[in-house]
Amino acid sequence: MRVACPECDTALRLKDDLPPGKQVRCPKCQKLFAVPEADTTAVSSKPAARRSAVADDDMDSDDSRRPVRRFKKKKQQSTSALPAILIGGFAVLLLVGAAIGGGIYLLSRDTKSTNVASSSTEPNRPTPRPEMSAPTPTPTPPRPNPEAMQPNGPGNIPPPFVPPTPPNGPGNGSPFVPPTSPTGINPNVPPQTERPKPEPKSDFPEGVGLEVGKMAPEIAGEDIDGKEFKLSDYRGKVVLLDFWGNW
Amino acid sequence: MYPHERSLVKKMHNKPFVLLGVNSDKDRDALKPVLEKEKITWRSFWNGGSTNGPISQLYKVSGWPTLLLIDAKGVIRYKWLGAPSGDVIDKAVEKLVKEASALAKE
Repeated sequence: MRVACPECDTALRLKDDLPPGKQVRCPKCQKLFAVPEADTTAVSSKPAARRSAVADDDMDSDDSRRPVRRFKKKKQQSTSALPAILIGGFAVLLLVGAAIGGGIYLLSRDTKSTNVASSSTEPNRPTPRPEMSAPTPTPTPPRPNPEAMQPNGPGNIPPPFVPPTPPNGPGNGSPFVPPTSPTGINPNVPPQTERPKPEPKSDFPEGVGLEVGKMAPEIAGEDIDGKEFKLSDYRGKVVLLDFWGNW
Repeated sequence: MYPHERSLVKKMHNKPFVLLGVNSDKDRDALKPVLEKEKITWRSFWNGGSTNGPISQLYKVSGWPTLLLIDAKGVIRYKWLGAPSGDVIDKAVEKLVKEASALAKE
């Protein structure tokens, strides 16, 4: 006989000698379900399956040939199958609803964060707005992520979104824009990282520095007798410069 | 420190080498007898009477002694925080002096 799996609706061919009520496993979705009565085969949808289960009960009660023991067994299974299907359907609805809800929530958060981001950057840096428009699209690529996470349910949605904000917050944004929301700090990362770089260079002209391999900064001062002289007076000679004190 | 510096200065007398100090003592007048006593013949910049003077600030020196070996082109080639052994200084100085002599011949 042909049966539709109550879980995935796959049409299945069962051996005809299988007793009604015997548990079989769907090869596609691995769902365990009871073999229905021969009359109620070819179930095509879940509501239909539910109806057929009820019909089974009626048939069973009418069927006098079947042993009582089996009838009882069948009734237990059919009644237990009904809530199982209901719970399954409800769970599916719950998952889909939660996923959609989560998706909407994330999307709204996303747009909110980008809005805050663009508005917070505008007062800080009015001129390089074309540059700043580049970082704002970057938060949008994460949008596919929440959608990809939907099947996992709502439990996974908050954690992936919360962590990205704190690393940016205290590290880069805290001294600069404390009042804005942590999500709005993201686009401020480029100006923050850019700023410290030129500062060390500004100490000395190009090629001059305190590291080995750099030109020694010029010293123009006076000696212990008050005579003026410069470090560059000794260019062409190897200079051992000794920072010392007689203490 | 002083004995090695004295001998280094003496050894490198006719070479393209000079030992320069940056002195951070408080009192120049109190220092002069020390220069005589220790036979410190080499020249020193006066760091304004403080370890936090302008030259040590410029070179971000926060430990004494700090030694820098600068080649004939003015490039910092070695840097020592704390006094290294005399041999270490001698070898580095000889290497750079050779370079400077070769540079002068070109």
